[in-house]
Amino acid sequence: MLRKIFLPSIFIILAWGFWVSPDFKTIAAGVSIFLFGMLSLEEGFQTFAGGTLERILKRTTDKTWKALSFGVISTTLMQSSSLVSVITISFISSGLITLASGVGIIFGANIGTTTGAWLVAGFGLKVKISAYAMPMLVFGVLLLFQKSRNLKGIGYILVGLGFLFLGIHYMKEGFDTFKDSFDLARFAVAGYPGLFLFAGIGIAATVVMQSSHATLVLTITALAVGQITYENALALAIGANVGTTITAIIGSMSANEQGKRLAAAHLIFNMITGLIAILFIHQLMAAVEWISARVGIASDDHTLKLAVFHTLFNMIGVLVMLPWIDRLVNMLQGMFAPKVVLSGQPKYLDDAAMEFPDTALEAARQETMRVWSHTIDVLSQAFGFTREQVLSDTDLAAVAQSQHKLPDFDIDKAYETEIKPLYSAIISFIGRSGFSWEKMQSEGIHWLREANQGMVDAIKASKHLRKNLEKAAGSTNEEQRMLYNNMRVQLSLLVRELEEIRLEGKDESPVLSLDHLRLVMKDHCEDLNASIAMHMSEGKMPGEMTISLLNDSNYAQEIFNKLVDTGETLFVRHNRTLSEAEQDVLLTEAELDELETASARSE
Amino acid sequence: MTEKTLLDRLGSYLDLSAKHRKKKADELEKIIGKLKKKEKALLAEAKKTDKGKKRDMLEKRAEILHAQRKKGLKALKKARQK
Repeated sequence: MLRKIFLPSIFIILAWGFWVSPDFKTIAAGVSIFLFGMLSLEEGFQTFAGGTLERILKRTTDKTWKALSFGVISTTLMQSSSLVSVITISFISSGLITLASGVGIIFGANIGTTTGAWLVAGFGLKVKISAYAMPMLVFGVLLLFQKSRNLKGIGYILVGLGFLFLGIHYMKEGFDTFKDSFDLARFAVAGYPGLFLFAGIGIAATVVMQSSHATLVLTITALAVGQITYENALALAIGANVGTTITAIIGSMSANEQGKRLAAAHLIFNMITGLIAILFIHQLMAAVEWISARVGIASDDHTLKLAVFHTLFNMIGVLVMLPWIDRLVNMLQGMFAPKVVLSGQPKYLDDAAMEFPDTALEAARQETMRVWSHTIDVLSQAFGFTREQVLSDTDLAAVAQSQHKLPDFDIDKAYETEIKPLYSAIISFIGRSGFSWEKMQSEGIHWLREANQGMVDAIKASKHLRKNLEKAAGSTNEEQRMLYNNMRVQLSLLVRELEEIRLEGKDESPVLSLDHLRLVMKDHCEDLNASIAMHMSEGKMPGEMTISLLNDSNYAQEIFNKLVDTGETLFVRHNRTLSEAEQDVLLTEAELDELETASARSE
Repeated sequence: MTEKTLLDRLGSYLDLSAKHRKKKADELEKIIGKLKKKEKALLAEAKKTDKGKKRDMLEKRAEILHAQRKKGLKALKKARQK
């Protein structure tokens, strides 16, 4: 209900303002142009960020000081703490960075965002900024029409900067003429009432515009022409700092509990910082005077002093909160318990993960690993064992021998409830993400699709195999029973091997695991085929049974191949094509055969 | 800087195949080093394990590593040749 009346109310207020005052129209247009400039800047940085930024983020945030530095530098360069927050929430949601790293980045972003005030106060107001804006717009728009993605990205950045400067220019002009007709300074409120009132206005303005930069620029331009007092401007800056958390809060709504924890951390940090600033306002003002005198800022240059104040209280906030990061993380983990997800429901494929290609890929990979886990369950039970038996050192041959009836298991139902919904969700998620993927990311998506399809194919083949496995378990023909038992034991042992490779982790050399996997598969297949051949040659089974066995050994072969391919993709290649050097070291089929022969000879 | 030095430097900068071979050689060295370390570890573990399937598997993996290292060393020699 509130959302429905919010936008029309804003429109009505603005329309009334335009009708009452053309100067207000200029200021509002200036703000709009400024905000559009920020959107263009974000668009531009996203072009270059797809891949590079994410790789940097993964590598440079494993320690708090690194995360902090990353937050400061990225926000300074992109001039948008909102973009940095959104990136961080996506990365946390998909599990690429930890919550502690994310909190560090947010702390750093709060310091980085203060450079905006310095830019505007130190440069924007002192020069004829529109002179710089126009050439940027012209060149930027020309670049936007180019086919090259990188040139388009540069175009967006230039256009963004141009609109930023133009917006500042119109806000300045608007306030300059506005003061002749309407002196806002008359409404200045002194003391603590003024502090709270203007902090509240700052929060409201930032929430409406969803940009603390816009609020600050408005404040600085109004202060520059004396439309607001210095004390009220400081309060607006405090309010803008608190209000900027709204972007993170909105962004976390489509995220999982990790994203929500980060948004809460952002809100808590900014509120504490705001509270410190309000409680110690006089001390901070005195500190600002002291610092300004030391660095040569004129005593009447309130805009630069505002920039000093903004930087100072954010730095104090970081210094106060930094020692409490671990406690904050623990508290947040307690506040936002992980959502209970049914096994057939996707856990990682949320909208926040879809913000960037790397996070989307990671979310798809994590969900694929859940499909793998369910596949182990389904296959273990299809072959007549439990998951625990397959994944431990249990002698599966002995278990198979002791079974004269396979435990009941509805493989169709298991597929429909555990596998198909997840598989469909992954494919749909990949399809919905409308990125222009980089080469490495495209490869990753291709391999993940193949891995998922491989697991589904293996399950479908095991469904066909299960029919005769059930018959053979209760058969009076010992040879048939033995052959089918051997088949299901070999398949289950392959699942066990693949899990062991998965648990060895990324440190294990992929080439070793790849060749080992291929050798293991050869062993399993050869064992199976040898025992089938032997029993056939001894004529211990009737013709019909032999034909069924041959068909089923084809299904078993298919399951072997699909599982090994899946294992290669997920646990060995880690969704990438092997490098040239790795391929040079891989053994060929002939070399593997030679190795097998030499090994058999030495035994 | 003399003209010859400048041209030599420009030449080596532009000699992409040499760069490519060097990158490949560096990567091969890393992989071979990792394989050697892993082979030693597997053989040590196999010595401590009782005879049986697990020991056979460890020895088999060590053999694969040995074969891969030999192949890798040949590839490294080729990559280092000009």
